[in-house]
Amino acid sequence: MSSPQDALFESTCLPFLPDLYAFALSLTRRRHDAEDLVQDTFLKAQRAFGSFQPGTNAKAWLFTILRRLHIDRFRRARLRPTPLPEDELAEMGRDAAKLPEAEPDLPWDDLPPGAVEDAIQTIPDPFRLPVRLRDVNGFSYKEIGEILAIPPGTVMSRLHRGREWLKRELVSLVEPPGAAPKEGPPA
Amino acid sequence: MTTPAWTQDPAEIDRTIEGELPPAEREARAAVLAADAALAARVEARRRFLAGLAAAGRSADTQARAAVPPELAARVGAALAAGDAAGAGAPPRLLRLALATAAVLLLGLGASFFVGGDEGDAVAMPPAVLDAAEAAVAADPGPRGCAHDEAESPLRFPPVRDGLRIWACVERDGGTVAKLYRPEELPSVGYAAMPAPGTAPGATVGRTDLGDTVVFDIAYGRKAHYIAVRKDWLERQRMLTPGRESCRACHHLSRVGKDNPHKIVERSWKLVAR
Repeated sequence: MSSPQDALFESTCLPFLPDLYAFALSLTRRRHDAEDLVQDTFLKAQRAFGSFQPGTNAKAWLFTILRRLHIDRFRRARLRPTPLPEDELAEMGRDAAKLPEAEPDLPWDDLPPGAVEDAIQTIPDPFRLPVRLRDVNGFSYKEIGEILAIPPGTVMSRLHRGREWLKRELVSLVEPPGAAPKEGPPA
Repeated sequence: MTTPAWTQDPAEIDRTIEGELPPAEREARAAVLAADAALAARVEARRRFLAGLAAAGRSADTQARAAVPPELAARVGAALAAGDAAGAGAPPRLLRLALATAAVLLLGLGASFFVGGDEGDAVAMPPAVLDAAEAAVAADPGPRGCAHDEAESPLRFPPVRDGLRIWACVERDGGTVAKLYRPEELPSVGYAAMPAPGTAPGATVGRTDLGDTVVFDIAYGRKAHYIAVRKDWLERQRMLTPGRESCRACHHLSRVGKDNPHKIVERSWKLVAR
Protein backbone atom coordinates (compact mmCIF):
# COMPACT_ATOMS: atom_id res chain seq x y z
CA MET A 1 0.00 0.00 0.00
CA SER A 2 1.44 3.33 -0.98
CA SER A 3 1.49 6.40 1.22
CA PRO A 4 0.13 9.77 0.11
CA GLN A 5 3.74 10.87 -0.32
CA ASP A 6 4.41 7.92 -2.64
CA ALA A 7 1.29 8.66 -4.62
CA LEU A 8 2.27 12.29 -4.92
CA PHE A 9 5.71 11.27 -6.09
CA GLU A 10 4.24 8.96 -8.71
CA SER A 11 1.77 11.49 -10.04
CA THR A 12 4.41 14.23 -10.08
CA CYS A 13 7.37 12.37 -11.49
CA LEU A 14 6.37 9.25 -13.41
CA PRO A 15 4.70 11.12 -16.29
CA PHE A 16 8.17 12.35 -17.23
CA LEU A 17 9.54 8.87 -17.78
CA PRO A 18 9.47 9.18 -21.60
CA ASP A 19 11.23 12.56 -21.44
CA LEU A 20 13.88 11.18 -19.13
CA TYR A 21 14.43 8.13 -21.28
CA ALA A 22 14.87 10.22 -24.41
CA PHE A 23 17.35 12.47 -22.60
CA ALA A 24 19.20 9.49 -21.11
CA LEU A 25 19.45 7.92 -24.55
CA SER A 26 20.95 11.11 -25.92
CA LEU A 27 23.54 11.05 -23.13
CA THR A 28 24.46 7.39 -23.17
CA ARG A 29 23.57 6.51 -26.77
CA ARG A 30 22.90 2.98 -25.54
CA ARG A 31 19.44 1.70 -24.78
CA HIS A 32 20.38 -0.44 -21.79
CA ASP A 33 22.51 2.28 -20.25
CA ALA A 34 19.65 4.72 -20.74
CA GLU A 35 17.20 2.39 -19.03
CA ASP A 36 19.57 1.94 -16.08
CA LEU A 37 20.04 5.67 -15.84
CA VAL A 38 16.29 6.33 -15.84
CA GLN A 39 15.69 3.73 -13.16
CA ASP A 40 18.45 5.14 -10.97
CA THR A 41 17.07 8.63 -11.50
CA PHE A 42 13.66 7.65 -10.23
CA LEU A 43 15.13 5.85 -7.24
CA LYS A 44 17.23 8.85 -6.33
CA ALA A 45 14.30 11.21 -6.91
CA GLN A 46 12.10 9.06 -4.70
CA ARG A 47 14.60 9.29 -1.86
CA ALA A 48 15.05 13.03 -2.37
CA PHE A 49 11.39 13.85 -2.95
CA GLY A 50 11.12 15.46 0.45
CA SER A 51 13.41 18.22 -0.77
CA PHE A 52 11.38 18.86 -3.91
CA GLN A 53 9.47 22.12 -3.79
CA PRO A 54 5.89 21.57 -4.98
CA GLY A 55 4.99 23.97 -7.71
CA THR A 56 8.51 24.12 -9.13
CA ASN A 57 9.48 22.43 -12.35
CA ALA A 58 9.56 18.70 -11.61
CA LYS A 59 10.80 17.93 -15.09
CA ALA A 60 13.86 20.17 -14.69
CA TRP A 61 14.45 18.70 -11.24
CA LEU A 62 14.43 15.16 -12.64
CA PHE A 63 16.65 16.10 -15.56
CA THR A 64 19.14 17.60 -13.12
CA ILE A 65 19.23 14.38 -11.12
CA LEU A 66 19.67 12.31 -14.25
CA ARG A 67 22.47 14.52 -15.53
CA ARG A 68 24.32 14.33 -12.21
CA LEU A 69 23.95 10.57 -12.10
CA HIS A 70 25.34 10.34 -15.58
CA ILE A 71 28.37 12.39 -14.59
CA ASP A 72 28.85 10.29 -11.45
CA ARG A 73 28.73 7.16 -13.55
CA PHE A 74 31.46 8.47 -15.80
CA ARG A 75 33.57 9.32 -12.78
CA ARG A 76 33.04 5.94 -11.20
CA ALA A 77 33.99 4.14 -14.37
CA ARG A 78 36.94 6.48 -14.87
CA LEU A 79 35.54 7.28 -18.23
CA ARG A 80 35.09 10.60 -19.86
CA PRO A 81 33.11 11.61 -22.89
CA THR A 82 35.35 11.74 -25.91
CA PRO A 83 37.07 15.12 -25.76
CA LEU A 84 36.66 17.37 -28.69
CA PRO A 85 39.91 18.13 -30.51
CA GLU A 86 41.12 21.56 -29.52
CA ASP A 87 41.48 22.78 -33.09
CA GLU A 88 37.92 21.75 -33.94
CA LEU A 89 36.65 23.50 -30.83
CA ALA A 90 38.56 26.62 -31.75
CA GLU A 91 37.22 26.48 -35.30
CA MET A 92 33.68 26.16 -34.03
CA GLY A 93 34.22 29.14 -31.79
CA ARG A 94 35.50 31.26 -34.65
CA ASP A 95 32.62 30.26 -36.91
CA ALA A 96 29.95 30.78 -34.34
CA ALA A 97 31.25 34.12 -33.19
CA LYS A 98 30.59 35.62 -36.58
CA LEU A 99 27.25 37.12 -37.36
CA PRO A 100 26.04 35.17 -40.39
CA GLU A 101 25.35 37.31 -43.41
CA ALA A 102 22.30 35.25 -44.28
CA GLU A 103 20.43 32.33 -42.79
CA PRO A 104 19.66 29.38 -45.05
CA ASP A 105 15.97 28.77 -45.64
CA LEU A 106 15.92 25.13 -44.68
CA PRO A 107 13.06 23.04 -46.08
CA TRP A 108 12.10 21.75 -42.65
CA ASP A 109 9.05 19.87 -43.88
CA ASP A 110 11.03 18.06 -46.55
CA LEU A 111 13.84 16.84 -44.33
CA PRO A 112 14.04 13.04 -44.09
CA PRO A 113 12.37 11.52 -41.01
CA GLY A 114 14.69 11.57 -38.04
CA ALA A 115 17.10 13.95 -39.77
CA VAL A 116 17.01 16.56 -37.03
CA GLU A 117 17.51 14.04 -34.25
CA ASP A 118 20.36 12.43 -36.17
CA ALA A 119 21.93 15.82 -36.79
CA ILE A 120 21.64 16.71 -33.11
CA GLN A 121 23.52 13.54 -32.26
CA THR A 122 26.46 14.68 -34.37
CA ILE A 123 26.94 17.83 -32.29
CA PRO A 124 29.85 17.49 -29.85
CA ASP A 125 28.74 16.91 -26.26
CA PRO A 126 29.33 20.35 -24.72
CA PHE A 127 27.16 21.96 -27.38
CA ARG A 128 24.70 19.15 -28.02
CA LEU A 129 23.09 19.08 -24.60
CA PRO A 130 22.05 22.74 -24.51
CA VAL A 131 20.55 22.35 -27.99
CA ARG A 132 18.67 19.26 -26.98
CA LEU A 133 17.43 20.75 -23.72
CA ARG A 134 16.29 23.94 -25.41
CA ASP A 135 15.05 22.95 -28.84
CA VAL A 136 13.76 19.48 -28.07
CA ASN A 137 12.79 19.64 -24.40
CA GLY A 138 11.87 23.31 -24.27
CA PHE A 139 13.76 24.32 -21.14
CA SER A 140 14.63 27.96 -20.47
CA TYR A 141 18.24 29.15 -20.46
CA LYS A 142 18.10 29.31 -16.67
CA GLU A 143 16.82 25.75 -16.35
CA ILE A 144 19.46 24.51 -18.77
CA GLY A 145 22.10 26.20 -16.66
CA GLU A 146 20.80 24.43 -13.56
CA ILE A 147 20.60 21.04 -15.25
CA LEU A 148 24.09 21.26 -16.72
CA ALA A 149 25.59 23.24 -13.82
CA ILE A 150 26.96 25.94 -16.09
CA PRO A 151 26.52 29.73 -15.96
CA PRO A 152 23.84 31.42 -18.12
CA GLY A 153 26.45 33.00 -20.39
CA THR A 154 27.93 29.62 -21.12
CA VAL A 155 24.48 28.23 -21.87
CA MET A 156 23.92 31.01 -24.36
CA SER A 157 27.21 30.58 -26.20
CA ARG A 158 27.11 26.78 -26.25
CA LEU A 159 23.54 26.80 -27.43
CA HIS A 160 24.40 29.06 -30.29
CA ARG A 161 27.45 27.07 -31.30
CA GLY A 162 25.52 23.85 -31.14
CA ARG A 163 22.82 25.31 -33.34
CA GLU A 164 25.38 26.47 -35.86
CA TRP A 165 26.83 22.96 -35.98
CA LEU A 166 23.32 21.57 -36.41
CA LYS A 167 22.56 24.05 -39.17
CA ARG A 168 25.71 23.03 -41.01
CA GLU A 169 24.69 19.37 -40.78
CA LEU A 170 21.18 20.05 -42.01
CA VAL A 171 22.34 22.24 -44.86
CA SER A 172 24.66 19.46 -45.98
CA LEU A 173 21.64 17.16 -46.15
CA VAL A 174 19.70 19.36 -48.51
CA GLU A 175 22.57 20.54 -50.67
CA PRO A 176 24.45 18.15 -52.95
CA PRO A 177 28.14 17.66 -52.07
CA GLY A 178 30.28 20.35 -53.59
CA ALA A 179 27.38 22.69 -54.24
CA ALA A 180 27.92 26.31 -53.52
CA PRO A 181 26.10 27.48 -50.43
CA LYS A 182 22.73 29.01 -51.20
CA GLU A 183 22.42 32.70 -50.79
CA GLY A 184 19.76 33.72 -48.40
CA PRO A 185 17.38 36.58 -48.85
CA PRO A 186 19.06 39.95 -49.18
CA ALA A 187 19.64 41.62 -45.87
CA MET B 1 24.26 56.33 -33.11
CA THR B 2 26.62 53.67 -31.78
CA THR B 3 25.73 50.11 -32.66
CA PRO B 4 25.12 48.15 -29.48
CA ALA B 5 27.52 45.28 -28.87
CA TRP B 6 24.76 42.70 -28.73
CA THR B 7 23.94 43.25 -32.40
CA GLN B 8 27.35 41.82 -33.29
CA ASP B 9 27.04 38.77 -31.07
CA PRO B 10 25.01 35.95 -32.65
CA ALA B 11 24.43 34.27 -29.29
CA GLU B 12 22.95 37.50 -27.98
CA ILE B 13 20.72 37.70 -31.04
CA ASP B 14 19.40 34.21 -30.30
CA ARG B 15 18.77 35.32 -26.75
CA THR B 16 16.94 38.39 -28.01
CA ILE B 17 14.74 36.35 -30.33
CA GLU B 18 13.91 33.87 -27.62
CA GLY B 19 12.93 36.56 -25.16
CA GLU B 20 15.44 35.44 -22.53
CA LEU B 21 15.88 39.02 -21.35
CA PRO B 22 14.71 41.26 -18.56
CA PRO B 23 11.74 43.39 -19.71
CA ALA B 24 13.72 46.64 -19.84
CA GLU B 25 16.45 45.06 -21.95
CA ARG B 26 13.86 43.48 -24.23
CA GLU B 27 12.29 46.86 -24.90
CA ALA B 28 15.66 48.49 -25.51
CA ARG B 29 16.61 45.87 -28.05
CA ALA B 30 13.24 46.09 -29.74
CA ALA B 31 13.84 49.80 -30.19
CA VAL B 32 17.23 49.14 -31.78
CA LEU B 33 15.66 46.67 -34.20
CA ALA B 34 12.90 49.09 -35.07
CA ALA B 35 15.50 51.66 -36.05
CA ASP B 36 17.71 49.36 -38.12
CA ALA B 37 15.94 47.67 -41.02
CA ALA B 38 18.97 45.69 -42.16
CA LEU B 39 19.57 44.29 -38.71
CA ALA B 40 15.88 43.57 -38.31
CA ALA B 41 15.88 41.57 -41.56
CA ARG B 42 18.82 39.47 -40.42
CA VAL B 43 17.20 38.89 -37.06
CA GLU B 44 13.98 37.91 -38.79
CA ALA B 45 15.84 35.35 -40.91
CA ARG B 46 17.41 33.96 -37.77
CA ARG B 47 14.00 33.87 -36.12
CA ARG B 48 12.68 31.74 -38.99
CA PHE B 49 15.55 29.34 -38.54
CA LEU B 50 14.94 29.07 -34.79
CA ALA B 51 11.20 28.60 -35.33
CA GLY B 52 11.85 25.80 -37.81
CA LEU B 53 14.31 24.22 -35.42
CA ALA B 54 11.86 24.46 -32.53
CA ALA B 55 9.10 22.79 -34.56
CA ALA B 56 11.49 20.07 -35.70
CA GLY B 57 12.65 19.67 -32.12
CA ARG B 58 9.10 19.16 -30.89
CA SER B 59 8.57 16.54 -33.55
CA ALA B 60 11.82 14.82 -32.58
CA ASP B 61 10.71 14.93 -28.96
CA THR B 62 7.42 13.24 -29.80
CA GLN B 63 9.25 10.50 -31.67
CA ALA B 64 11.77 10.02 -28.88
CA ARG B 65 9.00 9.78 -26.28
CA ALA B 66 7.22 7.17 -28.38
CA ALA B 67 10.38 5.08 -28.51
CA VAL B 68 10.37 4.30 -24.80
CA PRO B 69 10.66 0.54 -24.28
CA PRO B 70 7.23 -0.66 -23.11
CA GLU B 71 8.72 -2.65 -20.25
CA LEU B 72 10.62 0.29 -18.78
CA ALA B 73 7.64 1.69 -16.85
CA ALA B 74 7.06 -1.65 -15.17
CA ARG B 75 10.76 -1.99 -14.42
CA VAL B 76 10.92 1.43 -12.81
CA GLY B 77 7.74 0.72 -10.87
CA ALA B 78 9.21 -2.49 -9.52
CA ALA B 79 12.40 -0.72 -8.54
CA LEU B 80 10.47 2.00 -6.75
CA ALA B 81 8.39 -0.55 -4.87
CA ALA B 82 11.51 -2.44 -3.92
CA GLY B 83 13.07 0.79 -2.75
CA ASP B 84 10.05 1.49 -0.58
CA ALA B 85 9.98 -1.97 0.90
CA ALA B 86 13.69 -2.06 1.56
CA GLY B 87 13.54 1.37 3.12
CA ALA B 88 10.81 0.25 5.50
CA GLY B 89 12.74 -2.82 6.51
CA ALA B 90 10.15 -5.10 5.01
CA PRO B 91 10.66 -8.85 5.27
CA PRO B 92 11.79 -10.65 2.09
CA ARG B 93 8.39 -12.15 1.37
CA LEU B 94 6.75 -8.75 1.34
CA LEU B 95 9.58 -7.44 -0.74
CA ARG B 96 9.01 -10.14 -3.33
CA LEU B 97 5.31 -9.39 -3.27
CA ALA B 98 5.97 -5.74 -3.78
CA LEU B 99 8.21 -6.53 -6.72
CA ALA B 100 5.59 -8.74 -8.30
CA THR B 101 2.67 -6.40 -7.85
CA ALA B 102 4.46 -3.18 -8.66
CA ALA B 103 4.95 -4.33 -12.21
CA VAL B 104 1.21 -4.38 -12.74
CA LEU B 105 0.22 -1.56 -10.43
CA LEU B 106 2.77 0.97 -11.46
CA LEU B 107 0.67 4.08 -11.49
CA GLY B 108 -2.01 3.05 -9.03
CA LEU B 109 -2.90 5.34 -6.19
CA GLY B 110 -4.69 2.68 -4.27
CA ALA B 111 -3.97 3.96 -0.78
CA SER B 112 -7.54 4.43 0.35
CA PHE B 113 -9.31 2.22 -2.11
CA PHE B 114 -10.23 -1.33 -1.39
CA VAL B 115 -8.85 -3.32 -4.25
CA GLY B 116 -10.32 -6.71 -4.87
CA GLY B 117 -11.24 -9.28 -7.45
CA ASP B 118 -9.30 -10.45 -10.44
CA GLU B 119 -11.39 -9.20 -13.29
CA GLY B 120 -8.46 -7.62 -14.98
CA ASP B 121 -4.73 -7.57 -15.10
CA ALA B 122 -4.02 -4.03 -14.13
CA VAL B 123 -1.04 -2.65 -15.92
CA ALA B 124 0.23 0.81 -16.51
CA MET B 125 -0.26 2.28 -19.92
CA PRO B 126 2.90 3.94 -21.15
CA PRO B 127 2.17 7.54 -22.05
CA ALA B 128 3.73 6.94 -25.45
CA VAL B 129 0.97 4.45 -26.19
CA LEU B 130 -1.62 7.06 -25.39
CA ASP B 131 -0.02 9.46 -27.80
CA ALA B 132 -0.09 6.84 -30.52
CA ALA B 133 -3.88 6.71 -30.62
CA GLU B 134 -4.49 10.29 -31.66
CA ALA B 135 -5.33 9.69 -35.28
CA ALA B 136 -7.78 6.90 -34.56
CA VAL B 137 -9.63 8.93 -32.00
CA ALA B 138 -9.86 11.92 -34.30
CA ALA B 139 -11.49 9.72 -36.93
CA ASP B 140 -14.06 8.19 -34.60
CA PRO B 141 -17.70 9.33 -34.40
CA GLY B 142 -18.82 11.55 -31.60
CA PRO B 143 -19.52 10.73 -28.00
CA ARG B 144 -22.41 8.68 -26.79
CA GLY B 145 -23.52 6.89 -23.67
CA CYS B 146 -21.05 8.33 -21.22
CA ALA B 147 -21.24 10.83 -18.46
CA HIS B 148 -20.50 14.08 -20.19
CA ASP B 149 -21.73 16.42 -17.59
CA GLU B 150 -22.91 16.37 -14.07
CA ALA B 151 -26.57 15.88 -14.97
CA GLU B 152 -25.82 12.68 -16.87
CA SER B 153 -23.54 11.21 -14.27
CA PRO B 154 -24.49 8.74 -11.58
CA LEU B 155 -25.55 10.51 -8.41
CA ARG B 156 -24.64 13.81 -10.04
CA PHE B 157 -21.05 12.87 -9.64
CA PRO B 158 -19.11 16.10 -9.08
CA PRO B 159 -15.82 15.10 -10.66
CA VAL B 160 -17.48 15.32 -14.05
CA ARG B 161 -17.85 18.99 -13.36
CA ASP B 162 -14.30 19.66 -12.30
CA GLY B 163 -12.49 16.43 -12.98
CA LEU B 164 -11.69 17.54 -16.50
CA ARG B 165 -11.84 14.42 -18.63
CA ILE B 166 -14.57 13.89 -21.23
CA TRP B 167 -14.86 10.86 -23.46
CA ALA B 168 -16.92 8.93 -25.86
CA CYS B 169 -17.94 5.32 -25.62
CA VAL B 170 -18.14 2.98 -28.53
CA GLU B 171 -18.93 -0.68 -28.86
CA ARG B 172 -15.93 -2.47 -30.19
CA ASP B 173 -14.70 -6.03 -30.11
CA GLY B 174 -17.60 -7.07 -27.88
CA GLY B 175 -16.78 -4.61 -25.17
CA THR B 176 -17.33 -1.02 -24.32
CA VAL B 177 -14.51 1.25 -25.11
CA ALA B 178 -13.94 4.53 -23.42
CA LYS B 179 -12.37 7.00 -25.72
CA LEU B 180 -10.53 9.56 -23.69
CA TYR B 181 -9.51 13.02 -24.50
CA ARG B 182 -8.85 16.25 -22.78
CA PRO B 183 -11.24 18.95 -23.91
CA GLU B 184 -8.57 21.54 -23.38
CA GLU B 185 -5.82 19.53 -25.01
CA LEU B 186 -7.32 17.92 -28.06
CA PRO B 187 -6.52 15.62 -29.75
CA SER B 188 -7.08 12.66 -27.56
CA VAL B 189 -4.84 10.81 -25.21
CA GLY B 190 -5.99 7.39 -26.29
CA TYR B 191 -8.34 4.50 -26.01
CA ALA B 192 -9.01 2.09 -23.24
CA ALA B 193 -11.14 -0.99 -23.42
CA MET B 194 -13.54 -1.54 -20.55
CA PRO B 195 -15.82 -4.42 -19.67
CA ALA B 196 -19.31 -4.27 -21.10
CA PRO B 197 -21.86 -2.40 -18.96
CA GLY B 198 -23.91 -4.19 -16.37
CA THR B 199 -21.44 -6.93 -15.65
CA ALA B 200 -20.14 -5.54 -12.40
CA PRO B 201 -22.07 -6.40 -9.23
CA GLY B 202 -23.78 -3.78 -7.08
CA ALA B 203 -21.41 -1.22 -5.71
CA THR B 204 -18.39 -2.45 -7.60
CA VAL B 205 -16.50 0.25 -9.38
CA GLY B 206 -13.89 -0.51 -11.96
CA ARG B 207 -10.71 1.46 -11.99
CA THR B 208 -8.29 1.74 -14.88
CA ASP B 209 -5.04 3.61 -14.71
CA LEU B 210 -4.11 5.42 -17.87
CA GLY B 211 -1.00 7.46 -17.49
CA ASP B 212 -1.88 10.50 -15.45
CA THR B 213 -5.58 9.70 -15.60
CA VAL B 214 -7.69 7.31 -13.56
CA VAL B 215 -10.89 6.05 -15.17
CA PHE B 216 -13.68 4.74 -13.00
CA ASP B 217 -16.39 2.69 -14.67
CA ILE B 218 -19.68 2.26 -12.89
CA ALA B 219 -22.75 0.24 -13.84
CA TYR B 220 -25.68 2.43 -12.89
CA GLY B 221 -29.21 2.38 -14.25
CA ARG B 222 -28.28 -0.49 -16.59
CA LYS B 223 -25.85 1.76 -18.27
CA ALA B 224 -22.11 2.07 -18.08
CA HIS B 225 -20.75 5.35 -16.94
CA TYR B 226 -17.16 6.37 -17.19
CA ILE B 227 -15.59 9.02 -15.08
CA ALA B 228 -12.06 10.03 -15.77
CA VAL B 229 -10.17 12.00 -13.20
CA ARG B 230 -6.67 13.29 -13.24
CA LYS B 231 -4.54 11.50 -10.71
CA ASP B 232 -3.17 14.68 -9.27
CA TRP B 233 -6.70 16.03 -8.83
CA LEU B 234 -7.74 12.82 -7.10
CA GLU B 235 -4.71 12.91 -4.89
CA ARG B 236 -5.40 16.47 -3.85
CA GLN B 237 -8.96 15.52 -2.93
CA ARG B 238 -7.71 12.64 -0.85
CA MET B 239 -5.23 14.81 0.95
CA LEU B 240 -7.97 17.30 1.73
CA THR B 241 -9.95 14.59 3.46
CA PRO B 242 -7.40 12.85 5.65
CA GLY B 243 -8.52 9.91 7.68
CA ARG B 244 -11.56 9.19 5.53
CA GLU B 245 -12.15 6.61 2.92
CA SER B 246 -12.19 7.91 -0.56
CA CYS B 247 -15.92 8.46 -1.20
CA ARG B 248 -15.79 12.06 -0.21
CA ALA B 249 -12.92 12.64 -2.57
CA CYS B 250 -15.33 12.08 -5.44
CA HIS B 251 -18.81 12.60 -4.02
CA HIS B 252 -17.84 15.57 -1.93
CA LEU B 253 -20.36 16.57 0.73
CA SER B 254 -22.98 14.03 -0.29
CA ARG B 255 -20.99 11.30 1.41
CA VAL B 256 -19.54 13.07 4.41
CA GLY B 257 -19.34 10.74 7.35
CA LYS B 258 -20.27 7.65 5.42
CA ASP B 259 -18.08 4.68 4.88
CA ASN B 260 -16.94 3.73 1.45
CA PRO B 261 -19.45 1.20 0.06
CA HIS B 262 -17.47 0.57 -3.09
CA LYS B 263 -15.38 -2.33 -4.00
CA ILE B 264 -12.77 -1.11 -6.42
CA VAL B 265 -11.72 -3.57 -9.08
CA GLU B 266 -8.60 -2.90 -11.04
CA ARG B 267 -9.34 -3.10 -14.74
CA SER B 268 -7.03 -3.93 -17.54
CA TRP B 269 -6.65 -1.59 -20.45
CA LYS B 270 -5.88 -2.44 -23.96
CA LEU B 271 -5.19 -0.35 -26.95
CA VAL B 272 -7.82 -1.01 -29.55
CA ALA B 273 -6.71 1.42 -32.18
CA ARG B 274 -3.42 2.88 -33.23
